[in-house]
Amino acid sequence: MPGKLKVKIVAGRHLPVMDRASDLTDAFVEVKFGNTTFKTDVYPKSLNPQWNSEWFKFEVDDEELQDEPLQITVLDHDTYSANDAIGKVYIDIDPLLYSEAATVISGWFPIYDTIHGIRGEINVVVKVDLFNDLNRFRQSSCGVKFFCTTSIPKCYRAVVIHGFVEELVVNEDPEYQWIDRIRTPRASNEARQRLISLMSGELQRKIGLKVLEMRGNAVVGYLQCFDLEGESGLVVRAIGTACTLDKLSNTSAFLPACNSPSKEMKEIPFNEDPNPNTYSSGPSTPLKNQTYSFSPSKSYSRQSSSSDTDLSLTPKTGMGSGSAGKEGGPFKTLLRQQTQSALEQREFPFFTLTTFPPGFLLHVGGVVSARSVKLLDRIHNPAFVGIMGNTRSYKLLDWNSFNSDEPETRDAWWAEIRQEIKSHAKALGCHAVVGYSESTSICEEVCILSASGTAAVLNPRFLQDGTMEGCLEQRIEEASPPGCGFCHIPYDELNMPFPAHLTYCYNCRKQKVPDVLFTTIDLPVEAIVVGKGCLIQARLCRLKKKAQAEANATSISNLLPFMEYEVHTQLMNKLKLRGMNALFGLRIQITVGENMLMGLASATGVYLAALPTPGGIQIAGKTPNDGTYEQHISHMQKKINDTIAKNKELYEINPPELPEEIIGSPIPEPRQRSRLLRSQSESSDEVTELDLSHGKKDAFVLEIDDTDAMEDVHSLLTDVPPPSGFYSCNTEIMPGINNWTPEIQMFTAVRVSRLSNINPTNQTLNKNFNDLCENLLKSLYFKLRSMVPCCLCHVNFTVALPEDELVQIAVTAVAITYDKNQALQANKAPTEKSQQRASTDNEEQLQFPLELSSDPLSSQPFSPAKEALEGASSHTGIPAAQRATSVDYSSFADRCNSWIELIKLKAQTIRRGSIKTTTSLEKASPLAEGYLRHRSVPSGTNSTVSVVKMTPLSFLPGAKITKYLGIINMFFIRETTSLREEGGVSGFLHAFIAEVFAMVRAHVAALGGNAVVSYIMKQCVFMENPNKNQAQCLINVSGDAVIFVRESELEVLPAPPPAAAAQPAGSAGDVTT
Amino acid sequence: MSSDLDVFVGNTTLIDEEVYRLWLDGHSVAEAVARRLRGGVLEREGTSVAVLQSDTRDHYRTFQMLERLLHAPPRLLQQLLFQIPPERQALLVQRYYAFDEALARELLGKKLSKGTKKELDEVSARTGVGIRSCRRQFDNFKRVFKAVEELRGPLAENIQQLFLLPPALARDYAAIVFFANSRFETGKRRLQFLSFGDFAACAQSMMAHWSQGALGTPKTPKKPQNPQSMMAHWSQGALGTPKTPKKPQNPQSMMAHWSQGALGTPKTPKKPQNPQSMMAHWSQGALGTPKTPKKPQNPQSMMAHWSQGALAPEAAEPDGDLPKSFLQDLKELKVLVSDKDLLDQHKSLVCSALRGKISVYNELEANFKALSRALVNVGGKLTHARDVRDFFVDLVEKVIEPCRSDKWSPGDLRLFLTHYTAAPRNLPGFRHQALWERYMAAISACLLRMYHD
Repeated sequence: MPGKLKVKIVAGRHLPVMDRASDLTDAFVEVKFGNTTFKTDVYPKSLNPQWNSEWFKFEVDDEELQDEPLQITVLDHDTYSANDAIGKVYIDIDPLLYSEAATVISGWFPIYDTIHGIRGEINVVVKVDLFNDLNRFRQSSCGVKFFCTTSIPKCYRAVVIHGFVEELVVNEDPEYQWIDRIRTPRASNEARQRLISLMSGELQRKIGLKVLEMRGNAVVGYLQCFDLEGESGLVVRAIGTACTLDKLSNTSAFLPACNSPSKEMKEIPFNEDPNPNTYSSGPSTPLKNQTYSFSPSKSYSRQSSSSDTDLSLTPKTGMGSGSAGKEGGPFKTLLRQQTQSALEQREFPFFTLTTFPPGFLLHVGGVVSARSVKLLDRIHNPAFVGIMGNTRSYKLLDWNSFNSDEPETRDAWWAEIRQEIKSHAKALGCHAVVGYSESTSICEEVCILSASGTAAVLNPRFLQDGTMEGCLEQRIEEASPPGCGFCHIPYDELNMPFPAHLTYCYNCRKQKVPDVLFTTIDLPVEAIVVGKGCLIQARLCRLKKKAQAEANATSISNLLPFMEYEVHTQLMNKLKLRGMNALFGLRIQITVGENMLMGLASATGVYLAALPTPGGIQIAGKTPNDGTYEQHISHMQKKINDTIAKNKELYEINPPELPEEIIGSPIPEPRQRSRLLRSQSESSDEVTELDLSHGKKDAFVLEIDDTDAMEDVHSLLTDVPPPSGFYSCNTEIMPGINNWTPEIQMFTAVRVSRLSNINPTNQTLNKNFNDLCENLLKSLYFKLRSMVPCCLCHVNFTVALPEDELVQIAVTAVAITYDKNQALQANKAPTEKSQQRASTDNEEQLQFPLELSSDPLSSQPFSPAKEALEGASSHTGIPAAQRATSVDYSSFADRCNSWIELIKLKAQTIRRGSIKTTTSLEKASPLAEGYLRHRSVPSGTNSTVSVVKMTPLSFLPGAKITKYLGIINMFFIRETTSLREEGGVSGFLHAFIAEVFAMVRAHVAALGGNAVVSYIMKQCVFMENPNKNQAQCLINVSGDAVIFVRESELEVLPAPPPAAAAQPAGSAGDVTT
Repeated sequence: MSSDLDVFVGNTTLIDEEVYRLWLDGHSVAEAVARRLRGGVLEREGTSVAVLQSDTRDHYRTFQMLERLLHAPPRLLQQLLFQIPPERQALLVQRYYAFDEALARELLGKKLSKGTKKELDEVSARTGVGIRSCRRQFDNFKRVFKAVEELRGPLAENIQQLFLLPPALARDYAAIVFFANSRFETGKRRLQFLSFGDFAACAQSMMAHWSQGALGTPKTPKKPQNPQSMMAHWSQGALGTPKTPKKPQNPQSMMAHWSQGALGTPKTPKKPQNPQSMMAHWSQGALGTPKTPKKPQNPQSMMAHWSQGALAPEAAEPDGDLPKSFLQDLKELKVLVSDKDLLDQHKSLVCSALRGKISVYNELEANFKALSRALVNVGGKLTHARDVRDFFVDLVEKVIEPCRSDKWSPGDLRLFLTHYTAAPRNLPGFRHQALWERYMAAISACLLRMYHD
């Protein structure tokens, strides 16, 4: 008996009236864990019962402790009839299972009922006595810490970053079981909630086991998702990054480490293969015999597709299998044994992190992505194809026909995609993928699996045991200058995987850089950025014929490459329009509906000082003879040029200019001259197997030859910039703003719109969709107008197509206020002379916008964020965005194969000078260490409701996170049969989201926390049936419960450089790691 | 492209004061949007009407969800659903319970019944207050009335504790409850010149001087209790309540009623629980509010009041009812007018004291007996509920109007009342000095307040 769970039920309050006669309630409580149930006495006739129960003790395995949620049910005792349930509380006791997190869960929990919502509160105390289990064959993984945060958590140091862990579990969905016909909606919902809770626990335990096998002690960037596949079941899958973390407990331990420079790191010279073994994949994968050494993209693509064929035909090759009860095969075990810490031997060298310790990221290659269309019902009874709807009447399924060979199927699907991602990364000369994520979109029986990440070259020192001491505090003081290293190309210039336009780095002038960089990660702290960033979205709709099964899958497969291409073009145009040259946090979502596909890409555009200045956008007409047409074109061109100029001013993009002769363009650009379009245009080449009509044309010369192109130009111009005082981005921090003030407001907004067109065309749909997104943003700006000046950070759009003509968009973000007056002071912080020079240079550059803009923001033209961002890094970066789509589903051997879109951009425009920075973070570290002197949480144990902050970011501005209390992962279902009475769909969902927030806050408060960081709403599935006055909604949220202390409340610290103080995410945290 | 569903939920609940005001005034979403448009938001923020509509709807939904909690403000402090900073909570409560004086004036002394509620249409037309707002305010009056009518202790403090109102607002509500309870007639034509403020001031002085609490005699020893035991206490109390057929009347059941919005709770004559525990409980809960020392009307200062309230001596009867024994005793004062000698002596004492000091000396001398008779008889009649109703009518008709017609100045009246009240001290054989002064203190205060055009 390795664990004893103790539960005490103290009291209830504000219970609903259950007995109409007396207007009172005779409440009692059932406490259930596993198969054991305890009951309290009935506390008669009270709405505020005082049970003050004894300690209920459960003696259980730790395996059970990990899997099972504690289930507390409040009931109304009824002498004559069955007891009525008032509601339930599920408590995940996982945070109590590792020593550093919470020790007790105690507090008021909302009593939740899936039909009535929150009905009163109950006060519960939970403790766990855990006995050490030294059994090495144990099935539990108690003690492995989980973090949703996609960076090394603030009060920890990464000793080793082991790498990718994944797992999935499959079960049948209780909503689709035969018993659902005879049980109440409440029972069905509760069965679902409980099952998912159980599956989450199991999944977490299994991932924990894998981490232990890798000799790690934590999972960072843990992302767990549900696929509601309807009849074919319920998939819970998770990915994460296994790490060995060290708690930063005192400064003395920290100091020596941070001062010791690691020599090995410096020795890695540019362009030497940083990882000699990288280019052969794991010995046991089916791809082992293929060589990938910098093959040009075309041949590469072919290889990739052939390997895919192998995979799909023989789905049980062992890769990525081993979920749902089975412990992999011996094959996999073998693989695991071989998977030592060295990256090159890993099955999947993927990292779900988006922010890294300085020095970790050597070069970035570009975005890699893969998609695959699958049919869900293939293994099931075909008679039930296409009835995955919400209607209960269809549930006449025999569940015995579905069985558990599914995990392997799902595993194989994902393994296939991951393999493809890995190959794409290799083609870019990268051995790893960072900022990796996976997602699905399901409509009826068709499922699109997507994975994306950023190909990168990492510093191997972080990935191995033994050498970790001090390596994370690596400082590079010579050789490759910091701040631009990650931009340098990772591939061989003479043997490029695709044609690309390279220039010498505008920062160090030593290495080659691409002219545009797309990534899925956050802006590295050390990156040198000019001006501010902004949210860039590409939005796209494509009609598709309604079809069944395979025909449907085929048509989707055929559409996908075009969508990817268009989304990409849109992104590129919009990036140019803002005068920027890099995208961070890129997330492309393709959503499938019955009669259309929707694509939504969000990213944060920035101007990287290391990359060349982007040129403008040139418009060309096809019919040059028409005078009015010409006029029109030139009018448009003027508008575009104006917009670019305006945007540059708005985002304060004023790179220093340098004499042109310093930079030599290494690659001649004949095409440039041959075109009639003069001057600073850029070109991009897509090399793809599909013969796209746009192929081989200059992407940024928009030829207006049809209405489509007109549309494009118009849509470019309709993007309204946020009102003054607002900025927005989808990354953790806004480049260019660092003087955050502590006020934050996290919010979720959901909109469902009906596309009312009877005969929709792609154009009208695009416009509708675009308007929908723009209006939503506008409405957010209006709502939050009282917070100005502020920035919307981590803006996360999720699109769903719940029904034929309905589009649902959910946005979660946080608005953070900043102080526009503090920036100048912060600027004075002396960090490094060169930096100061850089900033003064820039100030000179930027003087002219002062009179152009009355906005006081421009009075601090060069934000000190940059200084904080300039840190250690090493050399060589990579250009080009490579994306690939693999589209297939298991029935078709001939799938619409993968393609890689490679984009080459070139620009020869205004030359900028480099800012010579030889920086180290030495100055910042001692002060960061000062922050580590935590103080205990201020005693906030008042009887009023304690405030719990929520944020999708990994930090709280102006505050120091002192403790991580554990992961919050909650799943709720709410259903109503009186939709009108509850205020219609909006009233229903409004109340439900508020309830979800309340439950998250209550759980955090009960753990002793005062905030949730890295909060994310992973799923919001809303279904309505207005005719029946019914609606149902499922919400899945997660985050990390933490204790934070306001910096102002911390003990006296050495006066911190404001940049560091104001940017806990950027500097303090990463310096300490 | 229409939005079927459109919600915005913040972790901290957004409260727009302007929209709250519009909602309180009973405007529909469309009306509110129109008004906001007129207010020029569009120009200031450069947004669209659709955005404004969506924003207004969001706020209205929030307020509708909050309304249930606003009916029992202590629950607003404890609830977990909406995270609202304390000062915002205080603002919500205060604005919700704020009322239009014109409306309150109309309803003063009326029975807060369904019948009265049906007449609100006319009241709305007369006062210019929107009908929905009228109903809400009426329901507020009624809710407060129901909540405190059976409680002992100072009315205003009880109200403050149960509804977390700022002290001044709580005192106004106390006046409304006092009037509703005693059913004073205020609607007569000759009373029309009196404002709500006049009546409220009168009610406050009457309660201050006449009520049980005013005597300062603690009837029950105070027990320091912790909230837990108190909650237990209530519930046990609930068990042992000598019930009228249906409703046990303890605070909990009251809360239950509030939460349902059920207001029709019949009275029970006795209650087992003591209000002090309730105060203690709520004050305790409230004292935990994070301290923000800046605003006078934040919960904390409210709390300070409650805790003081919790310590205040308890009275045996609700302050809304004037103590029976006191009213009975007032009959004794009739001796001042019925005994010819006393009356004459009283007159001569007052007249000699005022000679040369007031401008209306002659009129005073001529009318003294009539005035004195009126002043004493008003008190003598208070034992009968029907006569109580005429209290203000009598004062106006028999005191204020004669004085006014004789052109007394307010200063004259003040001097007169001071000496008139003080004189019996020197009357041989008058034994009710304390009673007299207690009686006259309130009467004087009322008269002075009411003596204007």
